[in-house]
Amino acid sequence: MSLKESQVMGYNAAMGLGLTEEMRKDERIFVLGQGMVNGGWFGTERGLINEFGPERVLDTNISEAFQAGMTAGAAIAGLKPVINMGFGDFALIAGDEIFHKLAKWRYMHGVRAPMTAVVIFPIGVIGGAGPEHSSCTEVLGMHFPGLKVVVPSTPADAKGLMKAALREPNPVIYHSIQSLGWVKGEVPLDPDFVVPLGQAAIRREGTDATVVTYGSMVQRCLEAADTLADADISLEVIDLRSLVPLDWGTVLTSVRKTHRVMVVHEAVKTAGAGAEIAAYIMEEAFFELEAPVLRLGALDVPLPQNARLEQLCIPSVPAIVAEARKLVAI
Amino acid sequence: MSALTELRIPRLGSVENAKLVAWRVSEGEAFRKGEVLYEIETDKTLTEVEAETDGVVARQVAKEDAELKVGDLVGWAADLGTDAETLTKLVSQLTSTARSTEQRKPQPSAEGGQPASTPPLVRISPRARRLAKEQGVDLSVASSSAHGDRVSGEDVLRFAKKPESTGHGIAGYENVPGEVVINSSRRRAIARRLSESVRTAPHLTADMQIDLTELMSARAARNADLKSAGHPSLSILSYVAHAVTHLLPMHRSLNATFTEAASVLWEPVNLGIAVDTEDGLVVPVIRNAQRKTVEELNSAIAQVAEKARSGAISQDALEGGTFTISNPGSIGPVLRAEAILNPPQVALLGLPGVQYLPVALEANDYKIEVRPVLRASLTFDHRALDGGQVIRFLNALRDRLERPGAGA
Repeated sequence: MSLKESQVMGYNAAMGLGLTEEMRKDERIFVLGQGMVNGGWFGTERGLINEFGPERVLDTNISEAFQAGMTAGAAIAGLKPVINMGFGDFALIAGDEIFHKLAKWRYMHGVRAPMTAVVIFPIGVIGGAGPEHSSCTEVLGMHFPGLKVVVPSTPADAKGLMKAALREPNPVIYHSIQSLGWVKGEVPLDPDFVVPLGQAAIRREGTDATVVTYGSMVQRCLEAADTLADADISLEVIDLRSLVPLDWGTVLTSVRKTHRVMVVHEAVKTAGAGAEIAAYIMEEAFFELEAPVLRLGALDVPLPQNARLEQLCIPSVPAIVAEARKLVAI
Repeated sequence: MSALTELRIPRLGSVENAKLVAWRVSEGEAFRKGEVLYEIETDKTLTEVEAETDGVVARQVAKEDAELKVGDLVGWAADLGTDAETLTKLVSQLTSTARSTEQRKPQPSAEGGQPASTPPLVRISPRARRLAKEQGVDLSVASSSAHGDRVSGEDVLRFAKKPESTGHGIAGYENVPGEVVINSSRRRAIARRLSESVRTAPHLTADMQIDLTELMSARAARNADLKSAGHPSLSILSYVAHAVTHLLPMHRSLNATFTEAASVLWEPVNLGIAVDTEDGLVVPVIRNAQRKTVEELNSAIAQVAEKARSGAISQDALEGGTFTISNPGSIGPVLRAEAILNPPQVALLGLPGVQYLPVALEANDYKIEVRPVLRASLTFDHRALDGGQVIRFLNALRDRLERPGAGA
């Protein structure tokens, strides 16, 4: 019997595959959220109801606080809940349950047992969903100790990080990237394939400058690197994949190689993850730097509803190219 | 108890940078008003700085070879007669406050000019700082090889690599041995001024052949008289300089300075004479040269050239030139003496030396004779001048030099 090693599939489908494989292995895993029975908001949970039935696939009412509260309760009771918030912006309604209960209960109540929970917390633009449905709030998870935060940028990572999150003893904020939901890629079919938390990927090796990025901006940074290669500027592109824990080892090794760094993300620049990353690099590797650490993020504006205007607010390939040129010229 | 007074680099014409070459009075030593305290080298010359009052050098803040600016603190002086114990006490009170690099206070010039501008900023990257410290590289030296106003880690590493043979940091020549000679401030100033001149002024050069047969015989007769009277003989340069300085008031556009808005036609002819010295070209200026006779110019040229070569020329004597003569022919028989303009002047006459050449003489049915010939080159700023003005001047110069008896 010969098995295919990998298959081309969409990002959301790959998340679903990771979820399915883990649910088959571990009966404590169950999913909840709005529209779960119909496959979820974006198709991730398609077919789960058929395989696992209504006991493990719960359609909840429209109350994010209730859903997240149930998640926290189930997790501390020893189950492994997976909740899909739909649009990440809605998760803010459940801020107390996510950023206090899930993040802090293991600490507050001295829970020695694992407290596994995966909060699927989609972020970013999806083509004109407007200012209340397009935010990138991943920095919140970095700011509440107790949570792990992942930001997969490929279908393979979407699967591998989902599986890692379900084996992690602490609650994980799983930021699926809205704009990547239907992007296709090779996904390993090996049920033991896992992308460990806290492990960045060097997507492209380079020598002149390091671009630290994640999520929706990985592909754009790679395109920018292609463009700059024609001008003999060699960018190293690091996809962080996890923001908590953050793979500082990979980042700093690259800084020691290129001596120039910029951070690119879709989230607004001010007080975004890039601010933390830039500050950390300057604390740890200041005397490796030839230039200040630059940041490129979205404009500090509520995102417009118009999809074309929306694109003008977040970093484009030409903007990344321009910023990288500025960086290597310093 | 007497207080200390500051010793600062005085304003020297338009000079900004100064290198302290040597202290002449050591710490604790007394000096009198007018005595030389220290020597500095500026972009243009070596200068001795004299004491303005009597006193004692309490502390030398600036060390020898320090690169300084006009107005920088170089030391502290106490009143004459201050005893050693008091000096020590005064100096110890200083150490908490005084630093040579801070408190840069340019003294206003006598003409009430503007204060010296701030020094150009050289940015040294954090990595370059660390590497310089680790590799023991002097950042001021490494910065001389840097591109523009930035010093990168690469610049430092280039210097750190085998300083004996490949410290030059010239890309592609890493394995070619060579000696690194740090440029003097004069060399750097020459490089800067000439590059600036070429970049801003479109240069053009017109050559004119001048037959010196008559001038040479007139000069020979004159020199014979002078020699018998015990006077120095007159150089060809002096004759040419005399002709030039007396013609320029009639060709004022060549004795001028050009700016985009206006040209300034100078009243006097302040003649610059380019002098070749061991440490590069120096151009001392002879003021009101249009009033001088050939003999006066001859001795003035000899005097400034001697001073320039010995480094004794003062800053003032290097400034305010309105026209320059360059005389490379005095070193060897070059064929042409094109030159780069000496800003802010708009014209310069280059003299390649007299050569004996066959000349077809128009007045003699184009019969060919060997004649002493000077092929003078007039380089000019085409923004300020057109060929017509220049050639009219050269015609006049030729007429005057070819018929020395005819004019004044």
